[in-house]
Amino acid sequence: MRRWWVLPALVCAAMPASAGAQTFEIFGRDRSRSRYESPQNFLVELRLGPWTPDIDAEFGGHATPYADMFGTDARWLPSAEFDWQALRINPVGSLGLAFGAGYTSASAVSPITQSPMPVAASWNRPTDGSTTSLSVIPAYAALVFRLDVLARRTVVPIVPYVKYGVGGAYWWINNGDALARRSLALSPGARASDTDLGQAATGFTFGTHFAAGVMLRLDIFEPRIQRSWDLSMGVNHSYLFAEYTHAMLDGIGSRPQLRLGYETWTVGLAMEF
Amino acid sequence: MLCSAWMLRSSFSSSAALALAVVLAASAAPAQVFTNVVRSGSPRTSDPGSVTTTLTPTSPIGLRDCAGEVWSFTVNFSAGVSGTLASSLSYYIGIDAMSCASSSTRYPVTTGTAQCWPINQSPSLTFTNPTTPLSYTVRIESRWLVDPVAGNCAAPGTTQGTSGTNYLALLAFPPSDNNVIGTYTVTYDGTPPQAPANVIAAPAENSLVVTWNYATSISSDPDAATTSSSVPSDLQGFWLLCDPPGGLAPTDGGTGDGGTVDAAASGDDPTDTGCGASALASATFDPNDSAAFARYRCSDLMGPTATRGIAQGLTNGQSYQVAVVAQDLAGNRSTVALASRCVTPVPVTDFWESYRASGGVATPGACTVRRGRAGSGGGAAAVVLAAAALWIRRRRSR
Repeated sequence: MRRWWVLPALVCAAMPASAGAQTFEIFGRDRSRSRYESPQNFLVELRLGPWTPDIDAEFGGHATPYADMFGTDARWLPSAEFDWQALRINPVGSLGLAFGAGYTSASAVSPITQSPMPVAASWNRPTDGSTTSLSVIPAYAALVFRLDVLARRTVVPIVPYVKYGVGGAYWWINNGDALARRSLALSPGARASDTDLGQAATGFTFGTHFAAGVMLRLDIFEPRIQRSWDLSMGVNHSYLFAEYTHAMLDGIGSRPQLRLGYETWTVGLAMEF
Repeated sequence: MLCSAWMLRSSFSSSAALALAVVLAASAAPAQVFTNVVRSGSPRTSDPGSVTTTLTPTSPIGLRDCAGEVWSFTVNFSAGVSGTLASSLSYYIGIDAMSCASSSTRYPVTTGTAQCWPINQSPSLTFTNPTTPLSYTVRIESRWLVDPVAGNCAAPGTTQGTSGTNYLALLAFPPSDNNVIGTYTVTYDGTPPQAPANVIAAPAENSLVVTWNYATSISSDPDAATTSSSVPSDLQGFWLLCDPPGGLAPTDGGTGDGGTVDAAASGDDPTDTGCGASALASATFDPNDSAAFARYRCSDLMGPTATRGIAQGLTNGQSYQVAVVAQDLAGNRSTVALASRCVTPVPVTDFWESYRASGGVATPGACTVRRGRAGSGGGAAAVVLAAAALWIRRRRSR
């Protein structure tokens, strides 16, 4: 049974709810809020972290095509996240829906084809020439719980949080300026029975997304500036945050997919409004 | 003597209308002339194959245009204020906007040097005994707009040199003076741009990656070569040429001729510095020869800021001499800038091929999940998200 529609369906279900969204409260009213504070419904994050995909994990140590081609250095993954803080659970925190996406890529000069394929160290790789690249747009939709009772009720400006949901990554591989395509005549190890011959190397990998992190509320450093932002722009709070992310993008039981999961630390800036 | 300026109407671009802005009328001359100017041969007839550049009524005349393009001028003519019609209309070329307005500077002159000449194109462009209403079209070859006396594009003897501006003037006779009733500005650019430099080719699959430098300044002479890093204002772009041309069997006289001997598996053999026999390296090869250019072209036109391009349609294992040619907005092409050595396209292994050759089993396309095998983690997350969304919608609908 094809379940490719799960992610789009979830997004579609969530979109009408978030349109004109407001925050619902349970267990009483949030008494930590100032009467002059503007309504707070959303959070946006700008994020940056290193990225190394789990592609080589598929081979169990027998081969490392990603590391052979692109090296072992991590790439940068800039990303952004938008949260709808849908439910205020007084006084402990908020439960919301998070939607995030980023972009990253790795590229290298293509080695000249040798048969049989040598180990990476003995590849004949020109200093200049056609490049090959892997480009990835990882994205996720997750539930996020932010425990902000400490920051609201005490002097400790810390907000721990956790996220869990579905993730995915749209990917494509280029040979030069065009999408890579295997051919029987030119691709090492290609067989006539291979179903991907001639197909453009692009696809989508599905999986789960988990993250946990800590936010440092910046209001305590310049509370007057923060109040001014709230008055002028509606920004209630701003944060620096550090987050551990584990995206398990391996297809979760689907047909074989390019393993684009990653495990990384991310830092960034967040604003609630 | 009454001199008056007339606004000309053009059904084409506003720039064309501006170019037609100067009209002087003598009292005895027809009072009103509306002139539409169409440059025929658009797109440029001398462009190769399916790759064409578009000419506009204000495009300058380049070396290739000069030899073959034809301009059409349509004149709508009405009687003058006095009702007097001219007995004839003739086309002249002047070196400035006013040089045809006086018989003292119009050929033949009794003293001094002529600055305005009748166009010598045959048959004659003179139209006699016009009657109103009159509308007629005249076709003038580009070379006569550049050199009205000899029609010589290579060495225009009557104008300001190999680049400049001429003024096409429509004169009504009689009288013999101040009888210019319409002018059109014609820009001629007979100076090719400078050639690119430091051309380097590197192997790729059925193609070559070519890089180059192009450093000139934006100056009063747009073709001037300087050491500035800016591109000239009239640079249109770059072409790549490959020898042997695509689809042709390789010649093979030994090392350096682009034949199979050069097609070593090395892909980029540093000892292969031959290519001396390449037609592109010949002193007689002219990129402005449309047939020769079309034969060796192996790229589309790239933009003026390009410093890298892909020579396409090549054959793996065949050694090629590659060259880069610059082209300006007038269609003039520079001399060829040859790559330092022959390079051979070779199969390369891209990441997808490497992954699959290593035993990777992923295939392209969107994900599909097998029945009953969805991971519990993903399923749980999906259920939680869907439930949350539905609960929120129900709360909002109350």
